[in-house]
Amino acid sequence: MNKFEPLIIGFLCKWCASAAADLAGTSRLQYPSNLRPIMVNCSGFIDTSYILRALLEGADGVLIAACHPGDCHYVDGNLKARRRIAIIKNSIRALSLEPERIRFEFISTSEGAKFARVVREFTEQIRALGPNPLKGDER
Amino acid sequence: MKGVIIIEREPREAIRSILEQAMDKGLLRAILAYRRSESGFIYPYLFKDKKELSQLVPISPVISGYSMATLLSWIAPKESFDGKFAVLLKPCETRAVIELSKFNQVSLENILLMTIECLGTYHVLNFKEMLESGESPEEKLLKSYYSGDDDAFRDACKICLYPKAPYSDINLCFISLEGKGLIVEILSENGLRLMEALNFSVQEQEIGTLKVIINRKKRRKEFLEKSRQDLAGLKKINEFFQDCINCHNCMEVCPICFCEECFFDADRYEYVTRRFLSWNPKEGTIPLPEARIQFHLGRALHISTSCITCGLCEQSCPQEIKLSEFFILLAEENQALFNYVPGRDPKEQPPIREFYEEELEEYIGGG
Amino acid sequence: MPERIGVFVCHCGKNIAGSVDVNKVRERAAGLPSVVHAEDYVFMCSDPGQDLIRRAIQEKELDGIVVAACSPFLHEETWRNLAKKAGLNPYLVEVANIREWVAWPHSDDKKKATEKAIKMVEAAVAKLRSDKPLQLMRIPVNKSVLIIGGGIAGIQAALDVAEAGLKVYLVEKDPSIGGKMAQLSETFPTLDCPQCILTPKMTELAHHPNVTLMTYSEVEEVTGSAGNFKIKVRKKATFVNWDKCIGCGLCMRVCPVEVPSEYEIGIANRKAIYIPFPQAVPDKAVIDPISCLRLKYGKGCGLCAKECPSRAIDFENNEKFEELKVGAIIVATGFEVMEASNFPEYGSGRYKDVITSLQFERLLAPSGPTQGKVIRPSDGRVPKQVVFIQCVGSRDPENWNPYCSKICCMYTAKQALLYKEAVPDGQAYIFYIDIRADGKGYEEFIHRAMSEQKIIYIRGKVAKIYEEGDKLKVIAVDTITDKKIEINADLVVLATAAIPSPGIQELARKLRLQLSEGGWLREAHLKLRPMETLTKGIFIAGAAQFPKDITDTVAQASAAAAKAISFLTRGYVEKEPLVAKVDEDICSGCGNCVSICPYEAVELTDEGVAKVDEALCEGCGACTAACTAGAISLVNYDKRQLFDLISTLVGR
Repeated sequence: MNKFEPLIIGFLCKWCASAAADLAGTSRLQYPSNLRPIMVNCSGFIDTSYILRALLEGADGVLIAACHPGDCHYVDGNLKARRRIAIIKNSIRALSLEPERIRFEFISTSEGAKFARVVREFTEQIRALGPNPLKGDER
Repeated sequence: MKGVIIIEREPREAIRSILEQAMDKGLLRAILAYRRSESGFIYPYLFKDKKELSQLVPISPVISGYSMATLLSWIAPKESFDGKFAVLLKPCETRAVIELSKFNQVSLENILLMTIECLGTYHVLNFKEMLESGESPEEKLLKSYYSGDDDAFRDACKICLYPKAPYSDINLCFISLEGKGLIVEILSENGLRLMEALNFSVQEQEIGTLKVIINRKKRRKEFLEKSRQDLAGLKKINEFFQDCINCHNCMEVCPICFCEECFFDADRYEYVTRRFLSWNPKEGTIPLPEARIQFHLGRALHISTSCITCGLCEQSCPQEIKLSEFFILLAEENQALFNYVPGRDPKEQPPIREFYEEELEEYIGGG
Repeated sequence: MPERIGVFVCHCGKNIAGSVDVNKVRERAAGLPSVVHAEDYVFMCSDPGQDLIRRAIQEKELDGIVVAACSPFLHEETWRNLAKKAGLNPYLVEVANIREWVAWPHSDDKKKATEKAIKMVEAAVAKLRSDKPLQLMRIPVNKSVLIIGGGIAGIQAALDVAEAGLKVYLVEKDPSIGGKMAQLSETFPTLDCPQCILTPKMTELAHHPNVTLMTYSEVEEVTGSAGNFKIKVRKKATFVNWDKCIGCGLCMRVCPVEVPSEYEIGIANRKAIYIPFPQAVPDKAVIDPISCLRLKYGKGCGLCAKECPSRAIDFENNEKFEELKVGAIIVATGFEVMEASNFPEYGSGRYKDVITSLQFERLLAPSGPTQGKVIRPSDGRVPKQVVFIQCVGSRDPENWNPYCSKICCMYTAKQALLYKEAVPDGQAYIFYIDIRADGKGYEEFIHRAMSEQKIIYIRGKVAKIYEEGDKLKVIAVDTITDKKIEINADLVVLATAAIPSPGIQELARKLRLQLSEGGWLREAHLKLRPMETLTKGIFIAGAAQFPKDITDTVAQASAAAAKAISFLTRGYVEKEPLVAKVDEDICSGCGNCVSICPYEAVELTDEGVAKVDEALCEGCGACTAACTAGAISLVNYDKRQLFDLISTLVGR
């Protein structure tokens, strides 16, 4: 029996989340390989249309990891990201689609363990939700 | 509010007379408003000669195609107009103008915003039918206003809670006087200056809320519930949009969509052959790209915080898709998130430009 | 737009090859569109490894390379420099992190790890195919340095920079420079007089032609970027005209108001008008508006003005703002010690004779409020039994700070020695957990305290202190003998933890600097770059980065100065060209990008389209998300490339 392997796109900000992911690796913390990471300079770079696109392309989940408020290398990109994610999650919820497929986390450079834990949790959460119905035209 | 002027006259005549006097005295150089053609059609027109004002339709029964706000953004884009220029608008159009001014698409300098009180308009196709059957849509509209019967109006109008603009130079109200008068509500210095220059005496008076509006609150709730149900989940959403032919009329006509080139139009959304092949075929069919959800939801994500809920998208859809359900639902949800009302105040920043250190904590983490 | 791409897969010994089938990755990479060369090697970053890449670039005429190896944080620059030397534009280089992000966290499933590594290489190739060649930008810099903080770190750095011929602005929030060192009685282990070694430096600084001293001032606002910072400095109101003040101090004599002195840490008082200490630089008076009667009530008193021989006192609110243009910033804001009142279990805050080490320092100081006579603050008697407690608030992760404050073991030993010199028949007890004496002559110093002066060192923690009559009962446990200890002390000195200067959080925010755990300024790399920050052009020195003694402070200050000088010495900086660009045909002039940019790097031109100031742009990309039309985008990371990345990573 083939277990459903979710595919999760992760947008990791360069200065905090990517460094945390590096730390998780350096510390040899194990987490599921379902995450496909994309490094961006700042979470403020993420527009709602990229998250939507990832879901429509077939990703089962989208993770956006940013610096904690006050720590953003570019001042406040993470706060901008939070608003945009609120809009897309809110909209997805209003349409009774699954807002849990989008997850926004604050992860700082030193939180390698948190990064691994979030990826683990999110992967299992998406596995339980099942494949993303949004991929392709479902009639 | 700076004061009111009450004119005991049939409202349309009163409005035309004010405009005539203003043009006469050189206080206004041009007026953007609706004009009646010989065949009865109503279309937007730039009046520059007072002799033409007899053809001006101040209380238009229809918004034919583009919103006045869109037209303004074309003809009075970024520079201020030399000489006073008045625009007659429905409250939704005024709100759109204010919203567009925040994005530098319309300059509010030297424009005089005159909002006409409105309980709704007819769908442009109904309007056409009325004309063809010999009815006068204008008279029918006024009758409906005075009796409070808004059943024949567009869906978006029937749940609109703004019969007049929250921000305008002047609101021209007449519905409560049932055809016997016009109340000129002055909200700004510019409006005051114009009316005083026309030798009107300004009084202090409070104007109450129309009963129809109070009743609409319930209807609005029911509409939003129905919309939520019609759009609940992917299957229903696909059914909802299944007749969409991607004509993009809705975007064209939307007063808030101001992008020179729509992001969701561009070639970055083309699908390359090799990716067609990588999708899993389901039940023998090759699934097609989800261009529709991408276009509508993508566009909604960009504009819903500024959406005026005027419903022109639905009016312009050749496939008669109930777009106002989709957009009004998302606008309501996303604007409530930030306590924002587009067009309420030109100094209020749109939510996509502001952000705070502590907010929206519930959007962090799982769930 | 590379069309002849080379992919290089590193084994990193067993680090990658142990969990990822590098051969398979290489094979699959070779079959990707536009890839004409694929190779794998044990250690790509080694000399032979780099040579391999260089040869491939030249022999196969590669116009872009993907290196699948370790984190870009480690070697992206290595690959870029290598490409440059091989004749390839350094920005046509992409890195796929298959070590930290694949091999190490997924070492338990080789099949899945390999799959993921392949996908990441595919994605890197997809992005590279639409990358454009870019050139480093050269931006002229301002050859001047702002130094924030006038303690020994700031003073040393300022002197070094000034001597190198660059202009220095030193901003200090107190009326005088000198910092903590100026409050000390003697310095360990040499027992030098700190004023004697510090004052000449302070005077040199004040008279140096390249230095502008701005004391009683604070940094209000910082804009711009490395090489071209614009600083708004608030020069606080002194209410005294410093051009006329000669520092005679007559005003202080006649002032009727007395308040606790900050310099004496409450052990003694100062007047409402004051010069903080006798060797203050600049030697000018300021009036404290909260306690001055004339300033509080708007009339009355004014005795100081009448007394002043140069008529320098005018009670004018002379607060001023000044704008500075500098090329680099050195932050040397120092530290504070925790207040005794934080430790009620030791009676501090309640009992006047439980004080902090810094307060005790003032009692020891020959120029202090008691002229070096050690007396109890409560009744002025000479204490015969003094208890010193180390690690108060340090090394205490449960209640306070987990870190060690570094200097307390040494200064407590010093204070005990000085006490014994002042009160030869007195007895000193030091409660410690460990003794950290790791500098030159430090261990010998401790030994001296322990053996020669017979200072009693007890390994243990003090449980509580309470008053009994006119003594302080100190209850503790000796952890070596496991016995309970009770001492009837006359005076208790707490070596409280060092903490970052107040206001550091706000300053860090203004400078966009990050803070480490505990609130200390975050260095670029703890081991290799302790005097730099992650923000280009901003350096740090001294205790602001973490508690340290004067030796290390001076070393770090000179290091920061050297970094700042070398940063500015060429007259220009090279800036990474990864900035935002506007497609004017699509731009509708809405201004979303202008309002969202945290660096104010975008503005609307007269033609009504957006324009990016490439010197200010830091490449964060917030504007690209704010633009609904996609008219503004990051060079080599535009929306189309991002979509390609998403598609590639999702594609099965």
